[in-house]
Formats: sequence, structure tokens, C-alpha cells
Amino acid sequence: MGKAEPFLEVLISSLNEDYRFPIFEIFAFLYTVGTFVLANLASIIGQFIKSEEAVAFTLAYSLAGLPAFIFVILILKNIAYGLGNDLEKGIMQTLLSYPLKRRSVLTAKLLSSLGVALLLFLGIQVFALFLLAPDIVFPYMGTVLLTYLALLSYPLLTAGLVLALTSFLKRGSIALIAGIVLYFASNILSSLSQFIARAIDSNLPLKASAIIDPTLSLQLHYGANIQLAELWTPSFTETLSYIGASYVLVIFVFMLGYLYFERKMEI
Amino acid sequence: MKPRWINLLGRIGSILLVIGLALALVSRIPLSVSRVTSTNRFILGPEKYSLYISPNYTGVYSPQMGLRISVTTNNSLQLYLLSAHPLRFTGWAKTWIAENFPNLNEAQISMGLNNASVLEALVQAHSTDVLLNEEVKGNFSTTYFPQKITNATIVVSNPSLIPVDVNVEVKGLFTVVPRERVVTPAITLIVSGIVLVLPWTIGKGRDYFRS
Repeated sequence: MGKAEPFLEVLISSLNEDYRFPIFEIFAFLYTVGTFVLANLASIIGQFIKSEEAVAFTLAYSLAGLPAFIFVILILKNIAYGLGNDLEKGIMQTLLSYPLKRRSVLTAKLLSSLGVALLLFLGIQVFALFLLAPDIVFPYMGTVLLTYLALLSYPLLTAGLVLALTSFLKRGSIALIAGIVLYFASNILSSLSQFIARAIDSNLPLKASAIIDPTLSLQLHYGANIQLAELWTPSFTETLSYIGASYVLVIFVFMLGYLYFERKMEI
Repeated sequence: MKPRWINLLGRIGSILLVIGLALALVSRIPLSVSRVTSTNRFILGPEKYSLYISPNYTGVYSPQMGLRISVTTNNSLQLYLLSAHPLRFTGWAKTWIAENFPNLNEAQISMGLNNASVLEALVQAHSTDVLLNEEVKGNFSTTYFPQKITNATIVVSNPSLIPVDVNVEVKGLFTVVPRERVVTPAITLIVSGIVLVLPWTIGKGRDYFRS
């Protein structure tokens, strides 16, 4: 028996657990309705005069608002509740009895909890973009992709932290609450950094905040935040580097979770 | 035990079905009409045209944001909807006059800006920017949603030799999704969803009755 078969077994078992009927269907419905109802092309009209790239950014950004929150709820439920439940109820012991390394078991779990949720989120978003504004999406595909990269950075960071916390506590409930608090904390952090930046007339707080949530640097690059434009208008390369830095942070947090799960965790 | 692929296809089908139903539901949300009506009544001189400022201030429209234009007139008029900002259109007109009548000074160019013949020439030169071109007499009303995000300027032109009394009313229209774009994907998703979900549902039903 190769390694692919047990990996698939763990993946299927995780998929069954994470997306029991009709959980996935309910989330798909919420994603779709949320995406279309909030797709307010009128909101981007102010951007129209600036540049078409800015329009593409604002469109993708406005489309992802509520669905991104639903996505976070789904992945936090899957990671904290799903993985936490497996650890609490001893299901993880059964999964670890497969001829697989611990990291492969965790990868299968994450593929199910994060990968499938991400696929649904991006699938519906891209579908909506092509349906609503193909004339903007086609020529500025790079901008749209960059927007989603930036948008997903903080939810993925939260997911990584929740993974590490769930593995450490071996319980999902606290990690789930911590994850939700962390997600909302990003808004508080962003507002706080903007307030401090204005108060001390420096762009340093904005730059620090952009490493954690790089959508701020994209917003400022495309001129979507007029109030802060005087303080900081990052160049394209600068914006890319902030997105890169945020993903380095995401990878680091996931690596910590993997390392703890593989080496330190006692099951 | 049912083959796993029936389960997998069934779940994919149920998701496609749900997305299709959500799309169908969203497409049934009725149009909302702006409460603000922009009305303008004026006398349009012979062989003159007039640009009409749109009610949403920016003059930008999209597949979600359209216009309802109602025109009442006592004589024949030509109604255009152009995908250009009024300032851009005026720029075209100035350039066209300057190129075709190089001897005219600034003041003479400004005086000729509102001539219907200039409009006709520009409409022919920028035919791709003409979104709507209708001959109007008496009462006329039309609804327009652009296919893409675009500027929209309403132009009424009086090609006749007598002055015309014109009343233009414009209302903004809003829709959640452009219905004509959503119907086909929604039907496709619902049909393919049902096809995929059927074997799974039949299997589930059998299991239920057996137990």
C-alpha cells in the first residue's frame, strides 16, 4: 500500500467530518448571496476616474467583504472545532494509526478544512467577478489576484494561530473564540494604527499594520483611502513586499503549528 | 455500500444546485428606482443640441446601475446616450471644430459647440461610444443598463429648423445582479446540480427505507 491511499482515507474522513450535509451547502448559499448582494458596482464609481486598475481592486475588495468573514467562520469552525474535537475525543489516535507521518495527517486535515473552503470561496468570487464585470476582470487579472492574495493573508494568519492554539490546548472551544477575537482584532488594530499615524504624523504605524494585514497597503497604493494618502502612498513594489512579508508571517505561524503537532504534541 | 464517487458527485451536485438557486433568488430581487428624479424643461433652438447632466452626479453607470429616461417633446428630436463624460465630449467637439474650421478663434469655436451638425459629425466619428440613438416624438420612455461600467451622457438634438419644447426626466435604477447575465448560469447550475444529485438522493432514499 502506497502513501497516497492512507492520505486519501484521512482526507475523506476529514471531509466527511468538516462538511457534513448540509453545512457545506449552507455556506455555499451564504457565499453566493453575500457576494452578489454586496457587489455594489456603484461604490467603485468614485474610483473610475483614477485608474481602471483601481476599479478592479475596489470591485474585488468590495465583493469579498461579507464572504471573507463567512470564509473565516468556516475555516475556524473546521480547524478549531474539527481538529479540537479529533484531539479531545481521541479520533486523532485512530488517524495517526495510518502509515503516515504526523505532518501528512495534519496536511490532509488542513487540505479539507482550509483548502476546500478556500476553493469554494475563490470559485464563487471569481464566478461573480466574471459575471458582473468581465470587462474589468479580464484586463486586470493580476490586480484581482493580488487583491485576493492580500485579502486572504490575515484570515490565513488567524487560521495558523488557531491551528497552533488548538494543537497546544488540545481543545477547540477556546481556540475558536480566540480565532474570532483575533479576526475582529485586525479591524481594531487597523483603526488604531491609522489613528496613531495621524496623531504622530508618521507612516510607521501604517507600515507595521500592513505587514499583518496588507490590504491597507493595497488600498493606499490604489488611492482607495484618501484620508491617509498624505501620510503614505506605497509604490507597487513596496505593496508587493508587504504582501510577501505578510505571507512569510503566515508560513512561519503554520510552521510553528506543524512543528508542535509533529514533535511536541502528546496524543 | 454506495460507491464513493456517487457520494462525491452528489455533494458536488448539491453545491451546484444551491449556488444556482441562490443566483436565481438574487436575480428575482426587483429593480429599485431612485427617489430622486432629475427633471429639466427647456426650449431647444433649431439645429442645436444639449448635453444633459445625469442624476447620479458622477455620470458613471454600470450593469447594476442604469437609467430611466423619459422625454416629452412637441416635435421630432434625436436622443443619444453616449459613453463619454460631458467634459470629454465637449473636448471632442472643440477639437473637431478646430480641425475642420482652422480659421475660427476661441470665441467662435465656443459659439459653434452646440450646433447639431457638430454632434452629428462626432456621433459618426465615435460611433462605438453611442449607447442609444432614438428618434423621439411626443412621449418617449426607455430604460437602459450598460453592459459595462461606463460614463453616460444624455444628449438631445434638434435637427429641425424650429425651436422645440423639451422635458427630460431621468431616474436612476439599481439592480442587485444584471438579470440577463445570471439566468443562463443559474439554469445551467440548477440542471447540472439536479443531474449530479439524483443518484446520490436515490441511494440515500433506499438506505433510509431499508433501515
